[in-house]
Amino acid sequence: MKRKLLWIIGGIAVIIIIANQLDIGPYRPRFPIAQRTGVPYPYMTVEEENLFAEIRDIGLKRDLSRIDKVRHALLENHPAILIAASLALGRLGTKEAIDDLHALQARLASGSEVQPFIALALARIEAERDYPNVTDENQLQRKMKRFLQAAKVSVSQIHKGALWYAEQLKAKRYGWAPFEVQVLRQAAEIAADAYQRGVKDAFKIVGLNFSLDYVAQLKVRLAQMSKEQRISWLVDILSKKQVARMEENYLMQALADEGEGASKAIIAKLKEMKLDRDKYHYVGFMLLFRTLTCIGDPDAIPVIQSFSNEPDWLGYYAEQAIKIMKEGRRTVRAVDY
Amino acid sequence: MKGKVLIFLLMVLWMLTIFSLGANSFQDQQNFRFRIGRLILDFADSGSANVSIDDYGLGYVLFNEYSYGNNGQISFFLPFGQGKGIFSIGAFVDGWEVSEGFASIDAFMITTFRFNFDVPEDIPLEAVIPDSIGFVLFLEGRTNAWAHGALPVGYPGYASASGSFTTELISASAYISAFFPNSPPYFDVYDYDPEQGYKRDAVIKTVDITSGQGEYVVEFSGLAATMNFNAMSVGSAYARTGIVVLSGVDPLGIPEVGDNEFVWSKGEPPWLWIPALAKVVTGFTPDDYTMQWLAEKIDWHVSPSLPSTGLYVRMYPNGYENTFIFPRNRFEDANYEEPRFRYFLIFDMPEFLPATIDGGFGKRQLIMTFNGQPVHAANIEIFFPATATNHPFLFGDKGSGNPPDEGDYFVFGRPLWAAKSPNWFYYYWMVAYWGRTDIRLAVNVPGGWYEDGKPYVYVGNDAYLTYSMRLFHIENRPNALGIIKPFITFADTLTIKGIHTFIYTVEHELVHKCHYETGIYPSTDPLTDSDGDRLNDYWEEGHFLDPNTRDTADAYNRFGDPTPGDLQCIADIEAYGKLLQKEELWRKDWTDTGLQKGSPPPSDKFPWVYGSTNKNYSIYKDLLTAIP
Repeated sequence: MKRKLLWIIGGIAVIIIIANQLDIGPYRPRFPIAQRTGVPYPYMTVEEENLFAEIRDIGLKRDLSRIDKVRHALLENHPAILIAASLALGRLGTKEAIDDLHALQARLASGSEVQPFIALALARIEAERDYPNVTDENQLQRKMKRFLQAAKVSVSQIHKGALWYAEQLKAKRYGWAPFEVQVLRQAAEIAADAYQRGVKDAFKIVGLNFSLDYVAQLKVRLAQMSKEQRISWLVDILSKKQVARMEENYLMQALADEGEGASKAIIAKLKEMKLDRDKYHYVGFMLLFRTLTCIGDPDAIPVIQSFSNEPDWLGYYAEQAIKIMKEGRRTVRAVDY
Repeated sequence: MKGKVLIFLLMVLWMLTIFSLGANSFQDQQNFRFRIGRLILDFADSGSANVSIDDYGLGYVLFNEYSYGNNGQISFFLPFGQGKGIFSIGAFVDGWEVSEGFASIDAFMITTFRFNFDVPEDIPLEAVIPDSIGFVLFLEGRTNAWAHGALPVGYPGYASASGSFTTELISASAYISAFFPNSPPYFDVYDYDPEQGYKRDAVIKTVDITSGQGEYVVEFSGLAATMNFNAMSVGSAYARTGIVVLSGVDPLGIPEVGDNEFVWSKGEPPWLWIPALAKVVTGFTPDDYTMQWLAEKIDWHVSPSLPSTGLYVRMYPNGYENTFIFPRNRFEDANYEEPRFRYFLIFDMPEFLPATIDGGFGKRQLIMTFNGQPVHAANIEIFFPATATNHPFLFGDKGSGNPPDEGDYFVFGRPLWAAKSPNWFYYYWMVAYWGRTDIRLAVNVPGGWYEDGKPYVYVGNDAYLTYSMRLFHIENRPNALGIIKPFITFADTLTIKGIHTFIYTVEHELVHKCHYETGIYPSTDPLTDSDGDRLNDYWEEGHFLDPNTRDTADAYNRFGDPTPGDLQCIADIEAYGKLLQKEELWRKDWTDTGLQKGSPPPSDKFPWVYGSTNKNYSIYKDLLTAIP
C-alpha cells in the first residue's frame, strides 16, 4: 500500500516537472501578483517627484554620465522611485549597477512589488551588456533569447501572462502588470531599438506576440513612426479622448517622452482647440494638460492658464495642472512604460 | 640636644598633618563643575576670620590652606567652579625656650552649591518639566586639641588649646588644659572629637529650580585657640561637605524631548536595564568609610513599578563589568578616582514582554532613596522594540495567524503560513483596534490592502513608518450654465508616522471594505462606469467626482499607483476623518520608532505635519472627513 502511494506521488511529481518543461498548463506567474485595492503610495515631495521623472529620463536617453544619480536613487524608500530607478538601470545596461540591484533585492520584503522590476532590470542588463548595439536580425535574435533566459520566462508564459492580464483589466481588477507582461514590454522596447537601427523584421523575431498587451503594442506602433509622426499622432488621439482610463496614462507618457517637441505641438494644439472649443471634450484638454505637467515646459503655463476661467471641469483641470507646474513638479504618468 | 630638635621637628610635622586633613585633594581637582545630563553643578566657598596672636608667642593660624601670622581680619573667596566645601582652622603656639604665646581664630565660611538646569528651548506643551532637584547633603568633621610639654629641660610649663565647629548637621569640640611640672619626662595631652575618623551626618534636601537655577548654602563656623608657656600646643577644627545626586539617568531629564529613554531588549526572554547611579560630588576625595556609609543608605526603585520575575542589581566596580548578577541588594562602589555608586537595575520577564502597554511601557520615575526616604525622582520613558517579536501570545492560538499575535506569511501572493507579528502590530492593535479580528497582518508584504469580498483587511509590514497621505476639500466653480457646482479637489498632505500610519492604513482599507460591502463599488457595467474606476458614473457625479477620469484629483496615479485614483480618494477622505478621531492615541505609542521616542519635532510640528503649512495645522479649514 505504501509503495503504491509512493508511486502515485512520484508519478504526479514527474508529470508536473514535464508539464513545467513543456509549458503545458495554466499561467504560472514568476512573481506574486497583487490584485487588490491597496494603500496608495505616499505622496511625493517636489524633490522626490522630480527625481522620479529625472531618473526615468536618464534611462530613456541612455545617459551613462548620470548613472550615479540613478544608482543613488536605489537608496530611496518610495516604491515608484525604486521601480523607475531599476528600469532605468536596465536600460543603461551597465554591469556596475548589478550589485546595487542585488542589494536592493535583499533590502526589500520578499512580497514587495518592486521585486519583479529588479529582476527585470537584471535581465535587461545582461542582454544589453552582451548585445549593446543590435544591427542585424541574428544579433537581435540572440539578444532576445539572452533577455528571456535571464528573465527566466518562456514565450509561452509571456503570452499566457498577457492574456491573463488582459482578462484582469477587463474585469477591472487593477494592479501592476505581471512580470511576464513587463518582460513583453521591455522586449518590445529592445525590438523597437533594433528597428530604429534598421532591423526591419525586428518585431517578428522570437515569436513574441506584442499585440497581446496594449503597452507593448503601443511601443511597436510608435517605433514604426518618425518623431514628428509620433507627436502628431499622439497629440491628435489624446485631444479627441472623451474619457481617461488606465491606457491614456501610457499615451500621455509616450507623448511626454518626446520632450520639447511634444510640448510645442501640444501648446499649438491647445490654442487650436480653444478656437474650436465645442469640437473637443474637456477630457481631451485634461489629457494634454497632464502631459504638459510631465514635460515641465514653463512656456506651457500661460497657455494652460488661459483655460482656468473656463467653466466646469475644463477650468478645474487647467488649475490643477497650473498648480503642479507652479510647484515646480514634473510628473510621471506611467512608470512602467 | 640633637634628639630634642628631632623630636620637635617630628611634632611640627605631625601637627601640620592634623591641620591639613584632606587638603591634599585640592591639588588633584582644579575645577569642580559637574554636568549630569541637564544638571550643571558647581560650588563656591567664601569665608572670613578674626585672627589674634600676641607679641610674645610664636603662634600663627591656618585658615583653610593659608597660614597667617598677623592680627586682624582675613577673608577668602573661591568662586563657582573652584569651591571645595572644606572648612579648616587651626591655632598653634610654639612656646619654645620659656616664651609665652597666644593664638586664636574665630572663623565663618559658607559653601554654596549651585544647581543649573539646562532647559531645552522647544519643549512640548505637555512635557513634565522638573521644578526641583533633590539631593543628599552630607557633612563630616573633627576637632583636635593637643599640647606637649614641658620645654626645655628644667622648666615647668602650661598650655591650653581648643577647637570647635558648628554646622547645620553636626558640631564638635575638643579642649585641653595642662600643666607640665617639669621635664623630662615630656608628655602629651590631647582631646579629639570624635576620637577616630569623623563625626558625620546626612540629610535630604530639595532646591527649587523653576527659574533655571537654585542654590543651597552650607554654613560653617568655628573657633580654634591655644596659649602656652614653655610648651607647644594646637587647637584645630576641620569640617567638609558634599552632596550625593542621582546621576545614572539624567536627574533633570525631560523624556518628552528624548532624555532618559530606555528600550526593552529584543530577545526572549526580554530584559530592561536602567542605570541607577549616584554621584558623590565633593571638592575632596571622600574616604572609603564615608562612601560605604553613604552607599548603605541609598536605594532605588521605579514607580509605577515594572513587572519582573525579580529585580536584579548589577554592580560595575571601578568601571569594568562584574561577572556576577546579584539579587536586589545593596552594593557600594567606593571608586576613589571617580566617587560614585554604580548600579544597574535589571528587570526581566520569564518569556515575553508585558502583555499590555500600561503594564510595562510608558512614563515612569526612577526614584533614589536615602534611608528609605525619596531623594529625587527622575522622569524616564520605557519603550518596546518595534520590529522585534517578543510580545506574548495574547490568545494563545499559535499557528493560527490571528491578530494580534501572528500574521500571514505570503508566498506567491497567497498566505501560506502563520508567523509571529512584530511588536508594533501587536501593541498598536491592542491600543487602537482591540478585538478586531478583521484586521490581519501581512508579515512580508508592504502597504495594506483589501481583496474584494473578503471579511478582513490586510495591514502591510511597513504600516508604522513615515507616510504622506492626501487630503481633499471642495472647491466651487460655475458649470457651463453658470450654476455654482462643487468639485472634490486635492488640497493638502499630512505626514504621519508610528501609530498614526497604522491607524490610517487600517482605516483606509476598512473604508474600501465598507464601500465594497455597501455597493459603492464595484460597478462592473462598462456603460455605467465610463472611466473604469469601478465607481458608477452617477454616483461619481453625485459626489463631485468626474465620471470620465479615473483620477479626478490627479493625486494618485501619477505616482505609479495602479489602483484608480477616485477609489483611493474616497477611501482617504474617510480615513482622514477616522484618523482625526484617534489622533490622541499617539500617547500610547511606545515603540522605539514611534511618536514618543527620541527628540520630537518642535511642538508646532507634532504629532503630524500638514504640507500646506509645514506645521501641525492646515491652512484649509474645510478638509473633507467624510464623502460629500
